[in-house]
Amino acid sequence: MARLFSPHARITRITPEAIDYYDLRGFQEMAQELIDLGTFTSFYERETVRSVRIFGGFAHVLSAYETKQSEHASEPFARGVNSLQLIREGDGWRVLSLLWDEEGPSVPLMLAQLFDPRSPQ
Amino acid sequence: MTKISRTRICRTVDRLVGELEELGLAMNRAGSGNGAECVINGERYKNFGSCSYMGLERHPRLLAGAHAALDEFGTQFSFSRAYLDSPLYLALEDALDRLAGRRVMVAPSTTLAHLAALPVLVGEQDAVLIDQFAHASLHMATELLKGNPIERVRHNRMDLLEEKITKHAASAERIWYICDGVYSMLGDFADFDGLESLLQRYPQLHIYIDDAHAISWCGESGRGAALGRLGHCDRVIVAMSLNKAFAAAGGAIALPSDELRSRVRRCGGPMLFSGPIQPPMLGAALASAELHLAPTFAALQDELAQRISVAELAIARHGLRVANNARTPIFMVQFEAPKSLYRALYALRSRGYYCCVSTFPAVPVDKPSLRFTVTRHNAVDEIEQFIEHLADVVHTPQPEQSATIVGHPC
Repeated sequence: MARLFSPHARITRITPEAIDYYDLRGFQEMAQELIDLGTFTSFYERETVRSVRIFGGFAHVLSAYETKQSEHASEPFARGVNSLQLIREGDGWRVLSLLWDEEGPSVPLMLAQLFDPRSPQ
Repeated sequence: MTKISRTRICRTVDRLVGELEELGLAMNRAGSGNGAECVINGERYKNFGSCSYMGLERHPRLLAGAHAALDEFGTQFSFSRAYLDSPLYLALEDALDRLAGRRVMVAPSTTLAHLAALPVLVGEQDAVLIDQFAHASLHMATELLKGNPIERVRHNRMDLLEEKITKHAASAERIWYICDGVYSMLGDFADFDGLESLLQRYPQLHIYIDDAHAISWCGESGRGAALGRLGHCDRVIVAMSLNKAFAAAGGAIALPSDELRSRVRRCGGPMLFSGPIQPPMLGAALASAELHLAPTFAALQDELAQRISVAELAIARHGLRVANNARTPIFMVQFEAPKSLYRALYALRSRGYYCCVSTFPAVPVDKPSLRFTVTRHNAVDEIEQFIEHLADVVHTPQPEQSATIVGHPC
């Protein structure tokens, strides 16, 4: 992760209960804890749609994802959207902020609307 | 050990269970039933969700035991056992001593047995290792072990357990490994061969096993899986259930010595301040223990074993994939996503079958599962028919329901 993320990166997770704010190390500790607890035993995430806007030394990426048991699973057990801010640091792009929310009863995932550049939102 | 806050976990569980409740898949209210069937919202279902594996809850001897105790002692015997013990307790513990081949202490429930025993058994200089899928009541009990290093171990991974034993060997006086004998969700056994090997090689290792789901249907006189496999070792403590297949009430702990039994009885908090099992259920438990000790009990175990075999053959015949091949009455079919699980459960209900939803936090987020059980209540032909329907539901895409994807673990 250290190669992909800026040392100044923040990772933010929105859930129905709370918003979690992490630095890189805090996120890794949280992920390790979920594995130790048995919350997850397998995890495969695939990007389904992406839009990118670039200006100067930064970029904004909106990236829809689906999470599956494995690469070969036919049905996702979760879906959502990542919002990434990328910054050009030295030799390449790195993630400065990763923020995501997940589909749920009160968060319908309307990809066509979200990723349509003519959408008024 | 846990950095995710208790409040956060509580809110997440509240939401997830609430969603299942709205879907009609959890917190259901049963009408009357006879074990083979259950009634939910006025609808009658073939029951493939019960933990009464031996189907003894209406056995004439248990009913007679409960009635006799009710007549003699009334509805309750309202003393702390630290002050005054019902004579039924003494008779029950004596019968359970013979059943288990050890000194047995009865507790108001298996959960309270853990809460009583673990803080007494685990010393301040000991390290604690616990299987990640050990029963929730065991994880709860380890919360009482403040000051002890506690680590989770991946499910049944003896190699990782040995790594952690080695890691703690220099600093800990004793190392406790806490696990289930039969896992309530997956329905698989602890790795008894692996544990025996570790016990032989690491004298510091002590093991505490919750064998609640193996009692009665498994082992000589129904003593369960753990006592049958590791009961000869004094460093193994086994918790038992007097519910489930035993069909009465309460829990128990099989201890290797009188001295240890007395210490847990005198020092284990819930043994002093929690109310006792009340007379009717003590009477039922005593009758159940005597039934287990009778030479005819093995024939009842064989009846369940036959049903488990029928289920296994039907599963193989219909190409149904289950989580493991352990010979227990608990079966688990894993789905890729909660949506497809919910559709399968709805489809089975529409065909007249009840079985259980099993999603996070009962199982990992990525393993939404259908848990079904086989009991002596289920007729052989009904088991075959149920599995035929289950396979059809699993192998055929089911129509979309209003079920929503449940995500966001803690």
